[in-house]
Amino acid sequence: MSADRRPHQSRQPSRTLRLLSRLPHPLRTHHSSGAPDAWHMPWHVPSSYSSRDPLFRRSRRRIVAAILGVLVVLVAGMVALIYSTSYREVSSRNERMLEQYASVYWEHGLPGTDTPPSTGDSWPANQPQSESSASDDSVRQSPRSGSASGGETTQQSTPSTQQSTPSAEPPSNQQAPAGLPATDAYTSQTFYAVVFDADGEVSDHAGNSSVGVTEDALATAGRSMAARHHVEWAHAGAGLSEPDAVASGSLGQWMYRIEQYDGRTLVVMMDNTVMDANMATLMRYTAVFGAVAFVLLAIAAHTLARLILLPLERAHAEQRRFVADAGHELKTPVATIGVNAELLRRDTGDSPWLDNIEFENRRMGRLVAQLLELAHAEARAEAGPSPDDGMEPVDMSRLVSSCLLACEPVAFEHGLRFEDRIDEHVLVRGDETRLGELASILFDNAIDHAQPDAANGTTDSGTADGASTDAADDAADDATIVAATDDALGVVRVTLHAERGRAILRVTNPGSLTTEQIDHLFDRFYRADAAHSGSGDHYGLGLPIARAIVAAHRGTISCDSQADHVTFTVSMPAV
Amino acid sequence: MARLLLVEDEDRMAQAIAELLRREGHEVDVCGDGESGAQAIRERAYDTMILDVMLPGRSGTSLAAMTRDLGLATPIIMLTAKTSVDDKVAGLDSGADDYLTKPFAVPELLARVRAQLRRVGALDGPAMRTRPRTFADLSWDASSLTLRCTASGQSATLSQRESALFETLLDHPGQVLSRDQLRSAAWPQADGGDYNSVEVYCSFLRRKLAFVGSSVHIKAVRGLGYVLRDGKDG
Repeated sequence: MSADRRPHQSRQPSRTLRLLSRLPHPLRTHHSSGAPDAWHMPWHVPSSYSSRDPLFRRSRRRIVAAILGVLVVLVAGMVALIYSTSYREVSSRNERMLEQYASVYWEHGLPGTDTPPSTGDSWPANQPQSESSASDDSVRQSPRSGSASGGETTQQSTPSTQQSTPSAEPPSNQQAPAGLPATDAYTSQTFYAVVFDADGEVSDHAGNSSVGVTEDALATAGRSMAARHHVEWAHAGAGLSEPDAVASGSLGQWMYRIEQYDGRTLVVMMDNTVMDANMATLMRYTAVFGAVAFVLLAIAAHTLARLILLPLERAHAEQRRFVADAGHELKTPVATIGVNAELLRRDTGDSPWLDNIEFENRRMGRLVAQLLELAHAEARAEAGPSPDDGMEPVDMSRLVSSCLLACEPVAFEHGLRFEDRIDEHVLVRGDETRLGELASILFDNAIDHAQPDAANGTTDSGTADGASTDAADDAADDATIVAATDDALGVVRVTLHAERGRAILRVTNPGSLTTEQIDHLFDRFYRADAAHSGSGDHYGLGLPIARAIVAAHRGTISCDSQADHVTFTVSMPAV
Repeated sequence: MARLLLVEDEDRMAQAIAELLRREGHEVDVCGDGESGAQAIRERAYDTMILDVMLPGRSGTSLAAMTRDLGLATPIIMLTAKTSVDDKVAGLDSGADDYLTKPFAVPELLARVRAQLRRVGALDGPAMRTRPRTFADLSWDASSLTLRCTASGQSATLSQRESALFETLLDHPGQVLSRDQLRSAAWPQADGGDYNSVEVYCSFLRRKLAFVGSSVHIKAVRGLGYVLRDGKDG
């Protein structure tokens, strides 16, 4: 009663504790015996959640790539768009300014040498001095304004751009310092101009000899610009009613515009150096800070990917640990049943029921062993190759031969024989025990799943060399008997060789598999021949174990089925 | 008759193993935890000890180490669910002589117990027959079915039938045995396979002899049968 009335807060801790105690926790011992030296399997290190599983490594890489890819494409696209738009706008503004200069010229002639056209009294009052809201584009082109209003086709500059883009100059509502006139892009820009007469002689120019823009320099530049567009010097009385924009363009950092009117050819230019330099500076810093941002982004993406995958990895590790724990816990009962059954057999004598118990108990023992083997092999594959982990060079040739010899009698009892071509001294860096296990699994698999009848027709008696060569020096009749026996047997072919730095082990047995079967072959508990599932000793764990062993050795395993034979190929880095 | 100590916390297993060993004619003391095991080791002299590794109170490895610290050379067989190589090494380093992983086959446990007892001379009689036998540079361990070449240090495991065949040849060194003799000796059961099986198994044996690099070979004598010869003799 009193317990029920206890305040809520005081009960909460105990409930939390109870919940916690139900969670699998690395610190909790998994054995009822509470053995001090529980066991030192890799997955028992709590920090081993980190990330070395190829599966998770791949997922993580994909997440990072996706994040980086999307952001980089977005940002780069945006920056490129901003840059190209502003570059285009600035260019068109500059063009407009040249045009404006030209129109002012036709109206008023060149301003005094070494002075840019200014808002002085010899210049029209509607020269844009500030971005007054009243001034519009057509007003700015005042010299021609009468005819320029409406679809004026002689104008080469782009009126549409002019209309669509707002005036390039920033709205200058800022105050100019005392004594200085208010300026805008046009008035602060330095223009140079040169005028040629009908003979191509300089009739007038506006330069700045103090910075080296002399008459000669302007004349040379003007001629080369005119020559680029094959401009012919205008003649007086050519009948032009108004200035004709002949050409415009840019040469290096110079922008220019050529107009002709009344027997004069005007080449007006402006120096774009400042703009280009500004643009370059902007680009440079964009690149530098973009790179810095990219690196930061990569780190952030990596962290993010780890955070996303951490719960999954943890669940995966816990699942594996559960399998390992369950397997270990099952070992003792299996052993106990075995010992007691043996005792019973001695008491009661042979009995088919006892046979059944012992048979199934042995099977269960093997299953438990394979489950543990699989968990162990996968944990190793996850941990990746570590230098202190028994990764010494192993003579695969010797190992495979040894396994082959051990499997030979088994194969014979299954109506099969081995045919091998094993190159000498194929070395692989790895764990000898596991690699031996791998070879055994492949051989057992080949023997278990061979369908000798499928290959009887294809067995060529000419290649019955395996067992008979050794016998040849002893007695010819032996050889013939063995060869004759061989002919009746199915053949499991085993080859081992090194090829481009990789050790290739191939095991071929007669039989065939469908593509769908091959797809599931390396799944746990998958058995291609469902009909045999009840009788065999195997549980469909051999090939998953083989794959995990191969993965731990940074290799690959694959299966290929031809018309009448199935080939497993293991490829591992050779020493 | 030998005196054995079994330290195993799984009571149903311990009782069954003890019973099996008693029927083999041994006297068995059973302890259910590490501490009582340590006490038994200190108080009584045993011919062989079977220790589970994971025990409540005190681990089997620590019991083995304690035994050695006491200056006792009693053979120790470790019994455990652990399988990794490191664990085996740790067990053997702590002073164990043999190592058996659960689940084990009962005959294997009994054979290993016998082997250890023979080693310390606590057992004699017919069991002596299965001590490793030698012929020329070959050493044959019937308990593990292992054929070892002392010259090259290489070894190979034989199947049951190969072992039976090899032992028959080994029993009669230098003597030509006919196929029928070999078949009836090696395969006393009726399912001994066909006539050619002897040839096939002889060829398997030859390949294994070649694999371990032995100078011994199985010579076929035309029309008569087979004989085990040391190659150095010609």
